[in-house]
Amino acid sequence: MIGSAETQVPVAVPPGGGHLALVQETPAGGMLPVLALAAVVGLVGVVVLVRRTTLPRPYLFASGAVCVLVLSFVLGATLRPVGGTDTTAAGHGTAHGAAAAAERPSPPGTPVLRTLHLGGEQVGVLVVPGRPGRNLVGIGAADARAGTADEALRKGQRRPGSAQTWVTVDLPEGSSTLRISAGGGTASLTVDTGRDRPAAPPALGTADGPECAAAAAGALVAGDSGPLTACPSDGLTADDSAALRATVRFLAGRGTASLALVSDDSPRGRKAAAVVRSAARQEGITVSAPGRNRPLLVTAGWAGATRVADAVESGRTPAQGVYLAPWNLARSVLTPSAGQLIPLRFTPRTARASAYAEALAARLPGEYPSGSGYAAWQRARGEEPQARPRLFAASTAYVPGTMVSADGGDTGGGHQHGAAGADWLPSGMIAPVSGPMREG
Amino acid sequence: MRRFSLGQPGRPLRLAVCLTAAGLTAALLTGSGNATASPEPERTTSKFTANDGVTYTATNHMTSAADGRGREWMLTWAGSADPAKPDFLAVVDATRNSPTYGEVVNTVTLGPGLANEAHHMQYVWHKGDRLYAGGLLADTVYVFDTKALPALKLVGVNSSVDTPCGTAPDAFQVLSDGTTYATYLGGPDLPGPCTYTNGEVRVGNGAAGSPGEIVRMDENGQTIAEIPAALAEGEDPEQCGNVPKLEKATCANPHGIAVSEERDIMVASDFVEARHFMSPKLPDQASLARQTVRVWDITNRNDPELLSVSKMPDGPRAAREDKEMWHESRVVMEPALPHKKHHKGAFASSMLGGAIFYAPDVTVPNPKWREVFDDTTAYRKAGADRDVTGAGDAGSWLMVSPDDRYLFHTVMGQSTPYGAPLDKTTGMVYVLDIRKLLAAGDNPKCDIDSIDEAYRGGKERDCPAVTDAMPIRDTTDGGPHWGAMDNFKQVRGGLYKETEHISRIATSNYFIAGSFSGDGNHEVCMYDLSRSGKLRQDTRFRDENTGRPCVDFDRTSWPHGDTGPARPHGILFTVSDSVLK
Repeated sequence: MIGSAETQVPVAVPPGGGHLALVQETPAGGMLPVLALAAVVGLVGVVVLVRRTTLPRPYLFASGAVCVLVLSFVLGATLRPVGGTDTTAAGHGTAHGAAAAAERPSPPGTPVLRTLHLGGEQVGVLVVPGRPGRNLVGIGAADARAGTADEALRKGQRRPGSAQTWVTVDLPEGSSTLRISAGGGTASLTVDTGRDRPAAPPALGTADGPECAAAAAGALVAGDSGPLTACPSDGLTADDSAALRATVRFLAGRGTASLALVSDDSPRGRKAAAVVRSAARQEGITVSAPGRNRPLLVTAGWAGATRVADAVESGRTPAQGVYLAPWNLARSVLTPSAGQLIPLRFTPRTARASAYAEALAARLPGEYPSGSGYAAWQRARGEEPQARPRLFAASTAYVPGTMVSADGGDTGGGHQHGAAGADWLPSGMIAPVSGPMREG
Repeated sequence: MRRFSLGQPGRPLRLAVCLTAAGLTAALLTGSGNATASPEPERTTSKFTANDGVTYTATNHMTSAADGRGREWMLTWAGSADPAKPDFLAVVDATRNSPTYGEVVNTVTLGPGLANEAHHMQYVWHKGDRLYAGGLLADTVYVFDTKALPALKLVGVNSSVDTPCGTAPDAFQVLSDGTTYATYLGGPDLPGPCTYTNGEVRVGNGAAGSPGEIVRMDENGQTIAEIPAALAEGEDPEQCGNVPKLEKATCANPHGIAVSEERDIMVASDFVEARHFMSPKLPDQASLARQTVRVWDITNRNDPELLSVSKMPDGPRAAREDKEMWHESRVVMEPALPHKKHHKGAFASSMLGGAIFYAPDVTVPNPKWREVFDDTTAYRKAGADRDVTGAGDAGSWLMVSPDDRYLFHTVMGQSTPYGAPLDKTTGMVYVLDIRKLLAAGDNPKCDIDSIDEAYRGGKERDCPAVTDAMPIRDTTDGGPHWGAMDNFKQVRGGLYKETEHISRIATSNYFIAGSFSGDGNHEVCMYDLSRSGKLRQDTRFRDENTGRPCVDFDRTSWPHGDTGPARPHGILFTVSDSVLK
């Protein structure tokens, strides 16, 4: 197929038009004192005229209405809240800035996403499911600890696929205080777990917990504040099932005679493995142990897939490429040098998908965007994924001067110039290597 | 009730109320969104639907400074520092004495792909040439028609599906017929065997891995031939690490490329296996730092014959370095070819080795490469402290002037990984007089084989001599990576023609994203070059916003909008077709 070019299309842009138009904004706040003064003067004038009965009724109403309108506007703008109100002063934590302005109190029994000021940093905190009992608390600081008001703070740990430090905390019914420390600071967060809510999804307590939390965060930053009732690893979606079949068919088209398969015991993993085996049978491909001349298909979750990619990179597991299930678009899975490929129904580095990455970075600074988070974002916004998946190659380019650790953290000594945090895979490639694949 | 009357007492007060009300209404209408529109750039969009099914767009945003008679332009291929904002080609007025000299007159934003990692264009542009701009991490090449400069028209896209045997397009050499050779630094899209256009097969370990390849494209960016860079029999596995390991090891990760159509020669230098090179998880990083140069006979343009794969030698500094990574031979970033037909040799420079190599004849099966210059000598000329050497100095752009008189080289500066403090080591651009070396024919004597020669230059009479070394000071973690020669001169009547005598060069200060000793200060600077090879910064080439010399890409606003800082990589001198003879 030969590409086609279109002739240049001149675009007449009206003054001030166009989404990238060069416009200098003057914030309304700069006009507020002038407006307030003028409104007061006007009102006084109206009152004086009324008292002297020199103003006819229509003018009186018009002038008075304008002045009252302006004063209301000024008062409204002045008194508009700029920060969250649910952080208390038990420690040093307060909500700040634009991210905090976007925060709304979470309905009882739903995931909580807040930004706290801890140790001089804006730190994102995610609490899932936000219901009574065991909760996963993700904190955007390496040395984070968390606990309830009446217990010692527990040290958190990193988990594959996420930049957060995770702590498991048992929360009581109703409103309680969650204490968090990081960077030498401590803050408190009020969490209302509600009552009579359904049990938390079991996957939150497994290795798939961070992926489930990522999905919750994706929905939250998209504006969905509903309760978390299920995790991605609870089942295999029709789309993902079809993408796995398409991947097996793609391999068959390359003349693959056998493939290796690594899965896990999650409901999704078991179903996905069955789908792969079934599709392989249909295509005449045998499923065997890993081998140097055999592609390795991975239907495990983030933790398992990261282990597989690490093993292939190190040579412990031989493979002719690591073909990932769609939910494994997670940074720790993509950074080892293992020849990763993944079927996706979206193109990560486009404006549409970047909107999710940016929104996530704004509300949960430093957290990595993920395929599961984006799927939840799309569902919350009613966006349809592409009808047919493409196969993408993913790799991280480490070149002289690039000293970024395997999951994107700085190894020390350097700085990240630019907004790498909002990128799907900083210094990395996620490029389509196939057209839309046939699912059939 | 008294009726309102202008003749009644209290008229001033009534007037005040009315004026206040009117003023407030006006203020309300404008106060909350008070937009003072600047003159709008003229926008034109061109589109191309590529073989991956995606319709790519390029949108010009021409300011009023782009108006008027055609003139000289500097094209700069820049990536947005914000991955959610579009990458773009900036067209900068490069016309000496122009009232808008140094002004960005047009930005050509690309869509829909973001975060391409804007990398290289071709090394030099001639009248009528199309423009090839590579997105390193998008595995995509954009091709533009330049007839309407300063406007650009997208006429082709080589997408990631068009080159299954290679990834990460790096450098371009445009041939006289308008086609181009491109280096693809990284391995095939899919790990496993890949069949090249000539039917040969190599097994690779996947995208951004190994082996890379050479791709010949037509004027619309369509793949004509995928050309293997790896030897069919494999290479030394000790020297050529691959992760994951390949059954037949390869060092084929071509970065820079030089072509002589007259001699039917193509030279490419191997850089690194980019995927995971220098990852802290890999203990054996040195074996991923390539030391090799490849030479092809391109008599058959679509099926070149690989004539030689040569390992660059280490020099006298190697013995003083603890890590192999800083030895002279490591990470051969760029080759350069002389232009005259009777000059059969080639140069190559190492990024982490800080050295320049030369072989007097690369048309033979075993070219005799030797070190002919050490960046350490240039550092002395630039006034650096004695302990600043070429080790790990990130030597980059390398080009021979069209008259075969000078060799130009940029150096980013000893890097943070090497351990040099950023305020002590600096980048530079230097000029070597290579006439004696080229004149020595097949038997040059120059050889840097003593530490004294590494510091003071070769003792042999035919060794290159530094005519000048211009420090480019910045304390960022990067430095001047790329450069361009101004191969045009203005003649009578406001016309231009191409020249062999270079009187101006430019540098860009950025290497690759998300790195230290890889980022930079994001400036594009201009330097005058005298006939004797002396450099002087052209301080009239100033940023339109800061008023300081050099065009600063760390700015808030562009003709296309307030998208913030950008990273300038590839730069190129061009001239409007209407005024170029």
